[in-house]
Amino acid sequence: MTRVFARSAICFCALVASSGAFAGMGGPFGNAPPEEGYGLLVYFPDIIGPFVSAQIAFQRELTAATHAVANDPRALIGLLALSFAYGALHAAGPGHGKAVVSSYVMATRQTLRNGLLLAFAASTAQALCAIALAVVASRLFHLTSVMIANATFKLEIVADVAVLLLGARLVWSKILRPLLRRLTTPPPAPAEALFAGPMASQPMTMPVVSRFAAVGLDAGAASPACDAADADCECGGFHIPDAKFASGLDWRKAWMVVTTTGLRPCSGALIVLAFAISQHVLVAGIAATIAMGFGTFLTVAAFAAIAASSRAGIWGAGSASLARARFIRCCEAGGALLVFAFGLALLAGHILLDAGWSP
Amino acid sequence: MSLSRSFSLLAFLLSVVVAAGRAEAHPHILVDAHVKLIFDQRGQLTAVANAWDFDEAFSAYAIQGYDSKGDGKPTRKDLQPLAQINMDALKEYHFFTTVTADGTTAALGAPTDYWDEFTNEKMTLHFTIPLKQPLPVDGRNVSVDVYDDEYFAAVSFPKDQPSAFPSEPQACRDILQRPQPLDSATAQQLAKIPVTQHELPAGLHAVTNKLVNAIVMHCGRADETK
Repeated sequence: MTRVFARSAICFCALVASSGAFAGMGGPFGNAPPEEGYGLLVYFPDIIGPFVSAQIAFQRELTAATHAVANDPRALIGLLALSFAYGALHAAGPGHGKAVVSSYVMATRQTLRNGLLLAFAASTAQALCAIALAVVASRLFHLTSVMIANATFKLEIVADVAVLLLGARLVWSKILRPLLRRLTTPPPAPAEALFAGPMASQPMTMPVVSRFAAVGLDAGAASPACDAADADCECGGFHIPDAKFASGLDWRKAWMVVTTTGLRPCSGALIVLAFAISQHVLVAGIAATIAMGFGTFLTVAAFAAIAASSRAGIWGAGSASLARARFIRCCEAGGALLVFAFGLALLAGHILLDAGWSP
Repeated sequence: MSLSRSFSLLAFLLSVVVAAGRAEAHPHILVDAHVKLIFDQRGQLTAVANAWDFDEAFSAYAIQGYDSKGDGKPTRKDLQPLAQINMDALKEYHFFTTVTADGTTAALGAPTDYWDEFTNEKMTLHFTIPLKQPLPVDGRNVSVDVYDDEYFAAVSFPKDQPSAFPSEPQACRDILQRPQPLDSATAQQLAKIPVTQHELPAGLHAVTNKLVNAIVMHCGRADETK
C-alpha cells in the first residue's frame, strides 16, 4: 500500500514539475484549468453542456460561501454542505471516474465492500491532489496559475492513458488469455469443473453447498475467485464464487484505478482553494475540498454499488450454475471492454479537441 | 443488500436532481471592462484602451505563484509574465474586440502597453489595441464590441462606466449596448464549447448577439440626418 502510494506520488510530482506548456489550451487568459472530462465533450455535448453550466454556477456559490466564512466562521457549515453537494454533482457529470470504477468492479467481480473502498480511495486521492497542487505546490514551490492549468491538462491526459492501459490489461486477462487457453487446452467437462473448484492455486475453504448459500444470501459476499485481473487466475474455466468473505482489495492491482480517477484535481476545488488562501481561510478551503471529496465518493460509490449488486441480484435469483457462470464471464468481458473503450474514446476526444475540432 | 439498494436509490435521486436542474448562463470568469476610445487630432479613432477587472475568485487563482514576496500581493513587475501569457492567449480570441464602421470590420494591430495589476483583491488587465489605420468616424455608424462570444468570460461595462471618450471629437452620441440575460437554450449551446476552442462555431453566431457588449457611436452628419 505504501509502495503504491509512493508510486502515485512520484508520478504526480514528475508530471507537475515537467516543463512545457500546452499552447492555447488555458482559455482566453491562458491560465484557466480545463473543464472536467473535457475529452468526453466531443461525444455528448448535449448531456455535458448543462453539467458544465451547473458546475460553474456552483463554483460561484462556493466562492461566495468562502467569502462568508472569512467574515463569519459560523458560515463554515454552509460552505461544507455546498462543497459536499458540488462534489456529488461534479462526479455525476462528465468525467470518467464512476465509469472506470464501476466497470472495474464488474470486470474483476469485486465485492460491494471493495467497490466502496475503491470509490473512497479514488475520491480521497482527488481531494488530496487538489490540495497538493493548490496549497503545497503553489505555496512552497511558487507554482503559478499557468503551471497549475498546464499540470491539470497533463494529469487529465495521463489519467486517460491510464484508463486505456487498465482496459488493455483487463481485456488481456479476461478475454484474450482465456480464449488462448481454450484454444490450446480443451476445457474439462462442466461437472468436473464445478466440483474441482475454479483453480488449483486457490484451495477450497468451504463446502460447495454453503458457498452457494452465501451467494444467495448476501450480494457482498459474492467475492471473486480470482482477484483483480489476477495473473494466476484461470478465467477460462467455470467460476464459482468462493468463500473469501470480505476479501481484501488487491492494492497492487487496484492502484491504477485510483490513479485514473483520482489524479486529476477538479477545477472547482483549485479555484476555491486559491480564493480561500487569499481570504486567509486556508483551513476552511481544505475542509471544503475534503467535503467535495466525500460528495464525489457518494456518487462514485452509488455507481460502483449498482455494478456490484446488479450482477449479484441476477446471481441471487440462482438458476442453473452453468448459466450463471456464463453470465459472470459475460459481465467480466463486458466490464473489461468498457474500460478499454473508455480509454480509447477519451484519448481520441482529447486529440480531436486539441486539433480544433468542435462538437 | 440493503446497503446497495440505498446506494442505487441515491444514484437515482441524484440523476433526477441533475435532470431537473435548469441550465442557466454561467460564465467561468466575470470581467468588468473599462473601455476608452482614443482619437487622434483629426478626430479619427486610433485605438481602444482597455482595463479589465476580473472577479475576486479568478483573480485569487490567477495571481498564484506570482507574488515574489509570498504575501499574496504581487506587484505590477511580478505580474508582467502573466500579462504576456494573457496577451498571447487573447490573441487567439482577437482580444474580444471588434471595431466596425458602417458594417465593415476595421483591422486591428498588436496590443501595446499591457500589464496586470492587483489591487483591492482584484486583478486588472490593462492593454491597448491600436487600429491598423486611423478610422474616420464622422458621418458613420461606428461600433466597438468588447465581449466574449463564447461566454467563457462574461464581459460587460461596469455600471459606473464613464463616457468612453476621453477627448471627445466632434459631436458624437454614444450608446452603451449591454449584454442581455441569456435564455437557457443559448446558455446550454455555449456551455458545450470546450476551453480549447478559440472560434465560435459558425451556427452559434446568431444566438450570441444577446451577449454583445458594445459602444455604438453616431457622429457628425449621420447623427443629424437621423
